[in-house]
Parts: sequence; C-alpha cells; structure tokens
Amino acid sequence: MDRREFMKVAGLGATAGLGSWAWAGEERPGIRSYRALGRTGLQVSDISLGSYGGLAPRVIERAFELGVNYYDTAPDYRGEGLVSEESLGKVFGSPAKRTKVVIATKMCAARNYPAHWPRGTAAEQIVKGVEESLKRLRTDHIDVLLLHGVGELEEGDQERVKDSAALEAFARLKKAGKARFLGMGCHGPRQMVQTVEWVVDSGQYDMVQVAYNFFAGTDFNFRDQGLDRVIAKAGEKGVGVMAMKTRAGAGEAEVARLSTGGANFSHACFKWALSNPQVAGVLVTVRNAQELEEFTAASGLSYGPGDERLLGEYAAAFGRGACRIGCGDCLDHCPQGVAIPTLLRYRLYQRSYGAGESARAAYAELPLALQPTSCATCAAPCAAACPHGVDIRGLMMEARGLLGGAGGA
Amino acid sequence: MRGLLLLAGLWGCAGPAATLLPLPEPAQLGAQVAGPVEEYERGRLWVNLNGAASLYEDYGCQRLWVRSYTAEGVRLTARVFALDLPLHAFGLFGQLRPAGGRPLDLGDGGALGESELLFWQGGYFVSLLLRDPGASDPALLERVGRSLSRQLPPGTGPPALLGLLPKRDRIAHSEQYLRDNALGYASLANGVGAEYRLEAGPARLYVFALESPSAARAGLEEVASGLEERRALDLGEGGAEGRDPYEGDTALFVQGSHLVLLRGDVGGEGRSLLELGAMALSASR
Repeated sequence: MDRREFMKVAGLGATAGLGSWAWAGEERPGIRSYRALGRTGLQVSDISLGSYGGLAPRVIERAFELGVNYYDTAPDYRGEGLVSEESLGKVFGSPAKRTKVVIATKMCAARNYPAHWPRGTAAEQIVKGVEESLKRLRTDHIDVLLLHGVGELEEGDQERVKDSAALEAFARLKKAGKARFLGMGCHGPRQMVQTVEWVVDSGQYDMVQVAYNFFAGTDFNFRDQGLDRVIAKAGEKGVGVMAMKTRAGAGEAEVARLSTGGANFSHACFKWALSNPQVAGVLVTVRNAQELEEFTAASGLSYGPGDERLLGEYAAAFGRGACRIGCGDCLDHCPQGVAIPTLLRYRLYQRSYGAGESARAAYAELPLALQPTSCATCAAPCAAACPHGVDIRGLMMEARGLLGGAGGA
Repeated sequence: MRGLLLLAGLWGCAGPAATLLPLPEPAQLGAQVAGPVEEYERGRLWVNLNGAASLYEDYGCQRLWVRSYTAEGVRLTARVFALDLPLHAFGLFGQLRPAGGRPLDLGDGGALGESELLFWQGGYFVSLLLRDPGASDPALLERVGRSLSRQLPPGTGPPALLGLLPKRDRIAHSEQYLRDNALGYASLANGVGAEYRLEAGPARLYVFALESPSAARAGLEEVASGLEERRALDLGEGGAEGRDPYEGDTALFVQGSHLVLLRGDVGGEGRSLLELGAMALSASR
C-alpha cells in the first residue's frame, strides 16, 4: 500500500488491523509509516503535526503533501497572527482533502492558552464550544475530541477525566455525528501516569495523548515512572496513544553542546518514542516548512545505536541535573527545609551557563537554613519523593561543593 | 540579595532583570485567597504552558511567574512573563491580544476581553485569565491589572520599529511585531504589521527589517515563489505581486535590507499604501 492508497483507506473511515507498516527500501521525502490508533480504525502518520501557534496554511499544505495525516489543534492555539483551527480550516475546508486527514481538537474556550474548561463546566457550554471549533475548522465533524491538558490546572484537576458533563457533551456530539472518538491529553505535572491509567481502564476513551520521552523510560537509568506499563495496557485495551513532548523540553543551547556524530537529536527523540510499538505517532510542532521537512524525514526510521548514544549523552549531561517539572514535590520531604529547586537552578547556572561567579554569589546570599549542610548524613527522603528520579542528595552535595567554595557552608 | 541581582544580570540583555519577582499578596490586589507563586525558567515553560511554551520562548521569555487568586468568588490566574527585550513583550501582546478586546491604557498597552486582560510594560508581558467558564468581570480584571502594573518597572513606550508603518488608514491597536518565522516563512523575521482600512476592503501591511539586502531578497523569493499569476512590481528595488492560494492578493518589494508586504487590495489604495511604506523606509535611512 503506498501513501495514496493509504489515504483512500483513511478517507473511508479506515479499516482496523492494518497495524504498523513502512515502505521498504525506498527513499522518498515525507511520511513512510502509518500506524493504527488503537481501536479507532484510524491509521495515522508516525510523524504527526501539533499546531500550536503560528502555523501558516502553506505549511499545513506542505505537511499534507508530505503525507502527514493527523493534525492536532485546539481553540486556544494561536500566535504569529494566526489561529490554528482557522489555518487548518483554510487547508482542509474542502471535502476532497478533509476526508483524507484526521483532525483532533480539544474541549476548551477560544481564547489564549490555557483555556481548558474546568470541572463543573456544563455540557451545553462544551457542546457550544465544539460547534464553534467546527466553524473555524470548516468541517462538520471532529475525528478526535480531547479533554485538554488534564492535570495542568489546580490540584485535583486530573478528576476532569471523570467529569460527567464532559462525557455527556461528547456523547451528544457523537450522536449528532459531530465527533467520532474521545481522547484525553495529559502532560502532567499532576499524576499523569495514574490519570492515563484511569482513562485506559475506564473504557470510555478511545485514545490518550501523553508526554512521553526518553526521560520517561528506564533506558537511561531514570526511575521507572510506570508510563511504559500503562502504555502497554493501553495497547492491550485498544486505546490509541499519541506521544507529545518527545524532545523532553531540550533547549537548543543544550543540544548544541552535544557531539551529535551526524545524528539528528530531534530524530533520535522521535524514534525513541516510536520504538514503542503502542505509540501510533509523535506530535511535532514546527515553525516553518523547513522544519517540517526535517522532522518528517524521521518517518519510518528505526531507533539505532547512534540515537541511543546521542540521547544518552544528553541524559548524562542534563537529565539528572534538571528539576524538570518544578513541582516542588521534594520540598515537603526535606527534614531540613533546604531550598532544593533553587539550588538545582544555581547549579545549572554554574555548570551549563558558565556563570559560576554569579551563582556562587547567589548561593552565599541564601540563608544558612536553606543551604544543604546536612545532606551527607541524611537518608534523603527528597530523592525518594522526586517523581523523576533526580538524585537530589548527590546534586545538593555537588552544589555545595561547587558553589559553597572551600570556606563555604 | 546582591547575588540574586547578579544572577538576574546573567540573562545579559536590555530587558527586565530576572529578579525573583513575587506576585503580590492577595490583599494588594483586592483578592481574598491566593495560591503559591510558581516560577518557571526558560526551557521549562512547557510544564505550565504545554505547547504554548514555544511561542513564549521564541519571544525571548526568560522566566514566568504564575499565581492564582480568588477575589469576590471569582477565580483568576495571573502570569507575568519576563522577556529579554521590551520589543518582545510588545510582540507577545500583539500576537495574543483578544479579538474584539477593548484597548486599555495600561502599562505600555493593554487589552481587555470578557474574561482576560493582557498588557505589556517594558520587558514584561502580563496575562490575567478568569478561570471559570462563562465568567466575566472586566472591572475585577482591570483592578488587578492596574495593581500588577504598579509592581513592575515603568514602561518604555512604543517600539521604534512601528515608525516604519504608515499611519494613514491604519486601524488603531492592530499593530503587531513578528519576531521569527513570520507568517510561516523561515526567511521573514523582525517585522511589524498592522491592519488598514481601505475602500476596497481590509488590508494588512508588514515591514520586515532583515539582516541584510540579501536576506531581504531571500524573503522576497520565498514569498513570491508561492504566488499564482506572479508579476513584477516596480517599487523599491524590485518586487512581485500575485495571488497567494490561502491569503489572497499579495504584493511585496525590497528596499535595502527591508521587505514590505501587503495582503489585501494591491491596486489603487493598496498601491498608495505600499508607496507610503517605501517613503517611510527612505525617511528612516
């Protein structure tokens, strides 16, 4: 089946069970692999497009030409003078193209991000919001309708996945033919794994969109967060998985410090996520057509030793030093009240930004009670509490050595 | 504190110091309850902003403070972004101001919607969002916005780059700054744009100040290559006009390291607008 034939299948509503496949032995630009999105019957491009911000119609058009067939958007995705749903509507407003793509959007208000409907929002309001999305997208139906950014708002936000009003809104929309499948997007920071597992077990959701990157697994000796287990369970239950945040928030400056050996860091990240057969596709955000061409070139490629080495180098340099989610989970577990996130930041300034003098000065200004004076003899409940397996005690002692100086505290 | 101020200087730009700015206590904003101040550095913005983080990073965001308040039973989230340059704070404001929002004389410029208020002030961009669906309390937003404005360093006034946009027929408060990958073109950066009210209908004019004449030429070629019915345009040092499949009639020309682009009616008044753009560029030399 070539891409054209695939698109015919997708346009017909798709047939389930095609599984993962790739073109063999042929170099051509664009998408070379499509995978099943759980039990939905949809086949989606392994490199799919997120569309936050200034995504111009011409870039979307090029993505379509390259074979990208899954487009993720939201009413609150906008920037560079462009509204994401409107841009998609301009390109896919005609039935000829619309039937060849999968459009996923979110339940939320049309204003600046984050505009997720919180718990307690009436079903009528959600339905009205989706109908506004349909107008902007110039379509009569949404393929995948997601709860947006679950776990991102206040404590307890993850309970939105159980919100009867949201489920009722989806049921109404589905009955009216305005939405086909229900999904949930979650990137933490609150209880992501538990939330995804609840959704998978509930039987009410057709797919999940999760933050999934090489920090999440155990490949680089990070603590197992259980996400791989939950994704495997999703596979068993036919719940589709799309991965986002696959670059783990890596900054360009950090990546520039790596010796790539010819490997492409973004490709390595995408391939790592796609090496999990339960992941149907990775959502990538691009700023222009050139980035699109670069990213889609990763389609169908296997994760290999060069990728492993590159990600390993990144993980070693930045993985354990980075307080990745700013969650503060460690704070309540330090018996001494050490300013852990602050010290991790100062250490980062010293090690990665070449600003040792300033970092040492800032350290010296910290009240003694907030400095890591007792870490060496502590049982380190902080490290046990860190959801990302950061070796906090080791880093605190290192920070003290680096920043406290010979006569430092 | 000396150390913290030194750290602020690490970011090394003319923009705001990345001091550990606390968002005000609730009483200062007339609120009754507040959550903790959350703080996110560049590179970790996505934790709070998900995919939206890339836009703020593109605009030079160095740090973000977030705090939730409850005032008179209304829940509100305040976000203060420290950018590397005031121009970039203006840029974010122009990108995100709510459609149909009321212009507000706040900081260097503000806009008030039913459920959100945005303003920029020097190198800071501030967003206030009411949390609950259907909530609308412009008076509360404005009161909190003015309180927050007083906590920030004074403003810097409109960016000089706006002087490149002709004033005639320009729709007030429609101005934008586009930093990078403007309009989806990799070669277009560092530009300003605004809407114009022409007799034939609305138009949008952009002026990009690029690195060099060759960069301007590259921009011209990238945009013009996508035009249907492409024709030469005898303005500046050469240009093109035609029809963009999605954006409609388009005309553009280069002058030195600048590129001027018009979308909308490119004849008659549109032509006059382009000529005014050329004159503004000449005057700025």
